[in-house]
Amino acid sequence: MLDSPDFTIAVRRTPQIAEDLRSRDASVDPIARRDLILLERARNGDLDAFNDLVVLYQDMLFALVARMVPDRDQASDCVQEAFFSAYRNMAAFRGGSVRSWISRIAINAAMDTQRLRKRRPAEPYPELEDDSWQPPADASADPVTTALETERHRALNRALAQVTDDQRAAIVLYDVEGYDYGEIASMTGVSLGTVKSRIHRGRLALRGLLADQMELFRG
Amino acid sequence: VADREPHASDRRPNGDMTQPTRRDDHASHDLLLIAAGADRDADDTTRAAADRQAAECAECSELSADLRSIASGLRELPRSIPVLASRDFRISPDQADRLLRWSGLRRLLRPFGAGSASSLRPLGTAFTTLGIAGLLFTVLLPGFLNVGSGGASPAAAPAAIGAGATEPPIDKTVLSSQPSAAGQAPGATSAPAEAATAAPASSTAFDAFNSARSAVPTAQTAPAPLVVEPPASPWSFVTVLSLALLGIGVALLLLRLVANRLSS
Repeated sequence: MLDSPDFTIAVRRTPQIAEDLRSRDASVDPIARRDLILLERARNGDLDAFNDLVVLYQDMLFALVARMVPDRDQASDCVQEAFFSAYRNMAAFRGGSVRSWISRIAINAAMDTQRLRKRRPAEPYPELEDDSWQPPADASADPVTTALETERHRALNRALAQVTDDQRAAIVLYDVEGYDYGEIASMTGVSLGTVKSRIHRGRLALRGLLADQMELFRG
Repeated sequence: VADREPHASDRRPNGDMTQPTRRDDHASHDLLLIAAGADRDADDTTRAAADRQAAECAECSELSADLRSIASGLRELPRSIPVLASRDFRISPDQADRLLRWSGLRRLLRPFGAGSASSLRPLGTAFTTLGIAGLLFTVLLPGFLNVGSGGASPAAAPAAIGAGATEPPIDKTVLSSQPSAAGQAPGATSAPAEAATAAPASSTAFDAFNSARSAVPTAQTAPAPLVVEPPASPWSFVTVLSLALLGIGVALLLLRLVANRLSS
């Protein structure tokens, strides 16, 4: 039967959607490609596709924003606002990385919140003292190593909360999120030199704040 | 101590006591260079200069190592934090409808929103400031000057300034009627003075005043054409220009505000 001349293999004839606007990287990276397809469907009126993007990126955006605004509720509000803004401005998306685009919107929302509140966190984020903020430890991990790592994270978060908003944003984007200088410059709307200066000055400030806890990092 | 022999001449500190530059003076070192050198994206030149400085100064070397450790610690921070279980960021159909409302106006105003037209706000502020300054200059300032010198009320001031008058209008009218009045009743304007000086000799001061009063109406009732200048319009060129600048400035600021609201 398989060698019958009438037997045909079903092939998908519909072309892949959302290919024309993509950069070379997006067409290579499967995650970027998936994001672009979802966004294209959302732009065509598919709300579920946009909500898929929300589910995919909400934890990442929350982590990003939570390091910039004082408390968890404010961070949640910022993330919600960022998704609203992204939905409103889907038509303005001009290709590239969806992740960078959504991150930029979230950073702007966080910076706006900070500017409006006009206050710096007097205390470190209370939520960061909570162990639930730490990633689940590997079962085979050494308890001492895990405890040290947790302590290191707490110290870093506490110190990060005390540097200026601009320095904190630049450091989080560069060191934690792994963006490069150019991406951070376009996200925050400042020059490359300003980004570098904020990162370097911020790190010096962190070192000053962590001076009596440097043993945690030297080991 | 007193009986100690003084230093021999060749051992006395008689040279200039200068403070030589110490290369290991950490406070004078460029710490930003060390921070830049510890960066993962530092270029070769910066890294070489930072390494050179770190090699010459123990504290710079320690700082460089600390900065690298901090950067490494930052990279280990969790990149994803689970949101509260009670919080749902997904957008409902009702919210979607509400968010897409005014989308046409939003598209229209997008070029004036944040980042796209950053010069709009300073431009609007400048126009508004110029407009307010112009209005203050043309309306309020002359009024204050006149009040200060005991002149007309602020409302009447622009008219007086516009007409170039520094005297009350009644005086102007009198002066403008003088030539014809002088022709028919010469010396009529000087009659009060003459009467006043003659009064002590002939009559009482009251009589002199009455005779002076009767002399002035004689001159004013003469059939002479009165030249009364019309009051200048308060809407001078500068005032209109100031109002226009103020309007444009406020409009630009409002445009920017609305565009920002809609695009956020």
